[in-house]
Amino acid sequence: MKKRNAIVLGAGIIFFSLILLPILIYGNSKENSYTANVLIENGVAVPAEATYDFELKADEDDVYKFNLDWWQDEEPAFITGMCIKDPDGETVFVGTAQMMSCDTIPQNLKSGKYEAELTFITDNDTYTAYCKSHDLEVSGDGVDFSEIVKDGSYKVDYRINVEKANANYTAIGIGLGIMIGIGSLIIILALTKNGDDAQSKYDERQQIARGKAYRAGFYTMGLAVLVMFVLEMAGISLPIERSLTYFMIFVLGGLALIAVNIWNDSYFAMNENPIRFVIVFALISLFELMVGIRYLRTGQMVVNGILTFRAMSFVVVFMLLFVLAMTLIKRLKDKREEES
Amino acid sequence: MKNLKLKAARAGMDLSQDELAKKVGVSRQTINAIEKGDYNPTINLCIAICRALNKTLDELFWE
Repeated sequence: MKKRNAIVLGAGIIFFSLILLPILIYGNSKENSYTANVLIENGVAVPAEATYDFELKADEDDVYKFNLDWWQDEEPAFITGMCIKDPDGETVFVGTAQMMSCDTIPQNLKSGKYEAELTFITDNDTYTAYCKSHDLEVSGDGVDFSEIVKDGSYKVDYRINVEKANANYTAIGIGLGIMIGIGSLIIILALTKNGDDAQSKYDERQQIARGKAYRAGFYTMGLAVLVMFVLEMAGISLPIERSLTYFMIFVLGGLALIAVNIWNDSYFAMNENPIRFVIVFALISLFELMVGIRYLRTGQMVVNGILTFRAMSFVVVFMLLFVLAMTLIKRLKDKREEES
Repeated sequence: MKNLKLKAARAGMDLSQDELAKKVGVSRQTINAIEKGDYNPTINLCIAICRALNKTLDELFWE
């Protein structure tokens, strides 16, 4: 394929994906947010409660879920009790958390005015009373508020997003993200080529070496799957989310493939410019690093001691740095050999 | 085993590995691997190299 055609194809895929983006924006448009400014003075929250209303237009035949989010950069020094009531005053959700980001169980909802009651809890007695009055289970001996409550002023953004439960916007978002990624990849690969051809050209020695590299990648991936299988059979569960485990197995196979390729000078095609590749890899690494640090700071990377799929950013950074390091080591080795 | 005859023929024509690689349509590393004896080229590549260096197969690849 010609370089110009590849760029047009990549741009077309990105353009098509961007056209579909309004589906996501529309799907997530029913967002209601409220910012609470809470002062903790001598361990007491002022105000102790807050209420806010929002309108909801719901089809009777559809099932909805609430997406609740009050995940903050800085942990609030209190526990929030949230109770959402429908237009008839029936409770449709109730829960307590210091910070939260979750979807509720899908349910039928009525159209009308909904009310979200927020209670800012700073002691165990209030917490227990809140749980009892809302039929919530009190966990163990309650909560260790001495670890949580600290005097100061806290600004917390509460977001209640209502969406149809049968429309999986997360899946659509991931799908569009993958399409944009593929489009960008086609453009990047075309731009890293010398000449007019967008396809990678490998000579006969490189093709043989690439075959060996694919074999190494396949065996490494197979071995990793086998290890995971044995661990699962033995009842040993790693503190890693399943989606991340799959991704890491895939990356492990990729690393073996890359390592063998670089070592045999078959990673970069004859018509590829390694310098342009290195620049692109460095830029992607920087971007992924920033995304990863953000997730790490907001505490979304490790939840309840489990490494979540958000750690993918760091896995990608590791993979790209591995490519850069391997390329550098190979260059130094070649240079030393040439000098000798 | 190193292919010193190829290296000498290339040097005789004042060509670098990169220049010879471009002439025969392979990567510089492949020419380097052939000269070092790390890679046995196919007959097609041997012929291409011979043509580029004005040599016969016997002169470059027969021991």
